[in-house]
Amino acid sequence: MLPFTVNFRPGEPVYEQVTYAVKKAIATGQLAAGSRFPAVRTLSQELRINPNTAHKVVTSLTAEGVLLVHPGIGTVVAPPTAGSAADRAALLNDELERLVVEARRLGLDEDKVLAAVRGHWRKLKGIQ
Amino acid sequence: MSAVLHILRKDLRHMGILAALSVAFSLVATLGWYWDIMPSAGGFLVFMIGQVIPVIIQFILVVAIMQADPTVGDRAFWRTRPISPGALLSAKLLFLLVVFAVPSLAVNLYIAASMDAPIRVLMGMVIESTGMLLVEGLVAALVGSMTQSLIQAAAALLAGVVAATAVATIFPDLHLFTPWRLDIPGHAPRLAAVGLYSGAAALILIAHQFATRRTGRTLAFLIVLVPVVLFAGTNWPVTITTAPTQLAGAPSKPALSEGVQIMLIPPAQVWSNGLERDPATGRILKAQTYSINAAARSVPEGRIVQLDSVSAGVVFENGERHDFSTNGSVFWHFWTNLEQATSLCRALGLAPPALENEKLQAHGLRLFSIANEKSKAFLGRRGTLSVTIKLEELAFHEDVSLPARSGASSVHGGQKWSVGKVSIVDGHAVADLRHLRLSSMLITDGAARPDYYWSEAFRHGFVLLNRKRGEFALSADRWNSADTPIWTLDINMKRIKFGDRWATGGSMVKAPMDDAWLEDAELVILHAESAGTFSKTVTLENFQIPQAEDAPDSTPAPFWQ
Amino acid sequence: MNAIECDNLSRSFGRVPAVRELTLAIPEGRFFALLGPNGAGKTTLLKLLLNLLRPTGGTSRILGHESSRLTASEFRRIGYVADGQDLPEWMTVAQLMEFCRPLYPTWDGALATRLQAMFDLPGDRPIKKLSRGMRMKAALLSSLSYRPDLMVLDEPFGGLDPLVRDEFIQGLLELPGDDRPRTFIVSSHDIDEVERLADDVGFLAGGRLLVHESADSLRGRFRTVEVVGSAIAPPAGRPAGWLEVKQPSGNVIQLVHGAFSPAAQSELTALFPGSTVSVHAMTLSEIFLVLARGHRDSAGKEAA
Repeated sequence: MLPFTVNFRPGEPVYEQVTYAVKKAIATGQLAAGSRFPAVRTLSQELRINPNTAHKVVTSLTAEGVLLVHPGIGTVVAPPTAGSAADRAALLNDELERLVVEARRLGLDEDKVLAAVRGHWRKLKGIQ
Repeated sequence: MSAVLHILRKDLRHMGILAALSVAFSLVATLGWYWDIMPSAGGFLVFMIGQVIPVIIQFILVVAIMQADPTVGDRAFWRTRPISPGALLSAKLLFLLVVFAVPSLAVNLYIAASMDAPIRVLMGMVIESTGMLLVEGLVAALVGSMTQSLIQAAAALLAGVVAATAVATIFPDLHLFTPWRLDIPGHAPRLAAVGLYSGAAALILIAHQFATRRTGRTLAFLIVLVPVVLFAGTNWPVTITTAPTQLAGAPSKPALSEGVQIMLIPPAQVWSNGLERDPATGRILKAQTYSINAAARSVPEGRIVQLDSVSAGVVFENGERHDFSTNGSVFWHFWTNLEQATSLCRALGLAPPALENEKLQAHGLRLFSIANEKSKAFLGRRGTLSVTIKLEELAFHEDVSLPARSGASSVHGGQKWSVGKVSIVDGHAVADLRHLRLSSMLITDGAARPDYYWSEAFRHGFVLLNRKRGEFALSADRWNSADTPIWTLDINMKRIKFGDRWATGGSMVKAPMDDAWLEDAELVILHAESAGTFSKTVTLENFQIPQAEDAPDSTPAPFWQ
Repeated sequence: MNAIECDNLSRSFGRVPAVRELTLAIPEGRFFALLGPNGAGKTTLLKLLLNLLRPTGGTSRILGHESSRLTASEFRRIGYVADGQDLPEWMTVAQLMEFCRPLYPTWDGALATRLQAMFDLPGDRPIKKLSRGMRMKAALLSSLSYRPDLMVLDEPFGGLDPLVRDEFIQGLLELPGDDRPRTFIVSSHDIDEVERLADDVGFLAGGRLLVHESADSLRGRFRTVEVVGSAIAPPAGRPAGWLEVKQPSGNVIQLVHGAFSPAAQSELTALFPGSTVSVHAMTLSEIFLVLARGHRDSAGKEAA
């Protein structure tokens, strides 16, 4: 059993969906910082995905610093990154920009976007 | 090598029961008859057990084992496994050797050794048994599926048998075998089995190939199989009567017995219960058969002359000439002819008996038959009879001498004679004999000659000899069983009835045979080889064709004593 | 190194071509899904690669060796499971494993035991008495147990119920886990099963390779687009990448886009100002259908 779930949707690359699910699980607290992250093999078998893909997921999450590899212990979930709020905000910059562009394309106005953001925030907080 | 053994082990596990059955059959069949623990030779049961069932099992097993891992098609299990085609083929051939060749070879070698067979015969047997197997196996490897093969084999065999029966019925002069009776008195039964079998196999393969439309392979088969079938066919009993082939190293042939005198002793006799085939229409008609007594004299030492054919012609008083068709089916066992006892005795180192001239042993010589419808034109007429007799000269020699008592046996050169029951019936001795002979279609001389089957009855002569008393008795009558071929072993049963007692250098002893006589008796078996044929023409003046007998059920004239 | 290389590979059966001048290279370590309609030549291609059939033209190499020269030692590294394959019917599963084991130096007994338990295969029933699903599992078991570098599966999911299919895939995924690259080639109509697994996809139709791409790239460029607006019409010249354009009513246009990108997105928005343009991703299954239809239509046009 995996400590997080993935709802696969057609059309998106598998690796992206899994990566997103991991990050989401960390954000909701489902995956606690410091807890053991499943091995590539387990990931592949439980999710019925190609081991190459599973490997890619772990590699990219490790490169991003979401996961840490401790020799002798294995892969663990990294603690939330230290650093200033400004740095962390900068990490989200691209996502935010994309969100705004998309919202405008769909014809949503700023208030609606903010309301939606608040809604999701509460929802995730509620899960935690 | 280990891959080969690994596959062999798998195949043995797969087909173990059938393989064991096959081994059991070949052992039982061959050894059972060799040790004489089976019921007497001859008959359907013998043939089934000895020949047909092992062949069927062998066919099924060979096909099954080759097609368990087929080399044709793209679905075979082994094709994507680390098994090389060479290893696979070796394993299959090894299976065939282990299950078929080795047991039968072991048994045959044992029999051959205990029958003192020459090395050549052993080699022939080895080549035969392995060669056959390899051909079967390779052929099975090229055919796609077993079920289809079996069905087509059965169908082809059935069709072939039906067709051959039809042909044999419509064209009897072709002397084709009668398919239902497969103990063929002719050339080697082994050849017959091979011919039949490979013919059937060829038919199956060709039918199968056509059914699966692999024309290229069909042509390849035809190219290979046609000469094989032709070879088998020409060496097969399509011609049942052939002149016996000469032995390599046969005794030198001196001048033929031209000096033999043939005498015709009138009057002619008639037998009303004859049958004649009208050459014009082919119908079989009731006929009168005319015979005349004839005797032979001055047969040289160590020789027997034997009738081959008789052709007679009459020139009637009015100049009319009538030639009758040659009579080729004569049975005149010269071994029984006391005239030839002189020759026999000299060869055996005995003083020949004193024969009174008037006691010339005469035999009925069948001259000709005339259909009842036509006989009126001939009855009672007189003329000059001229008879041309074709004789075959046989050079004989003493082959074997056995004590004339039950259980005696003699082994030499791949033959074994054993004496069964010896008894006295009506004052005459009767002996049962068993003759075993190793045959091999590859060895065409010596004990294993294939052509021994034809006129085999004439190749052996039997004399009961009591040296102590200085007496002998010639065979008077004999019964032969058909040759029962059990693969390389041929079994022939004989029952010899011996005639009157004769004193060497003296005359007939008018006392019946008794057990005391037999105590000291030896059975001498003589063996003859053909030394060629010659003709003699004898004329008889003032010959009259007799009237028909009135009694409708007149007993047939004795043709031989 | 490439696990598979084909160079102008062709095979005809009589006059019917099954594979036409196919050129393809599959690098090792990838999971390659070979897709295509019935009769497209997938089975023929796989048989050509494994030397079960001889090509009528061209060459192919498998694990660096020419297909026509494959020997026993190469087959020690290849596993092959196909729907129409012969198995020794008289053997039990246990006997089959016992027969295969000595043939492979890399045989992993522990893996074999684990897989047999996972597949729930009875060890003592002869193969001819096994159900179809069990038969396929037995075949897979006897191929996975020696950890082949290349696994070739030809229509392995045909007629298997979902539970068995899942076990099958689980079994496949048992394989990788050490340093050796393991290549998988799976031909299937059942694309949903391999959707998540495939790294690369090859689409075969009429004996030709129409598409050979990574699954991500394929999924990346195919979209279904629905434009809803008043009185809209597709543009006169068909824009690049537009496939299967349909207009069910005056207000709706539906199309499949085969070259989707942010630029294509902008182009759509520009073409239909004021209309709602909704774009959806497609499964490999749906993409495959579009390609199949496209090939059939173009083949029809060729014939006409």
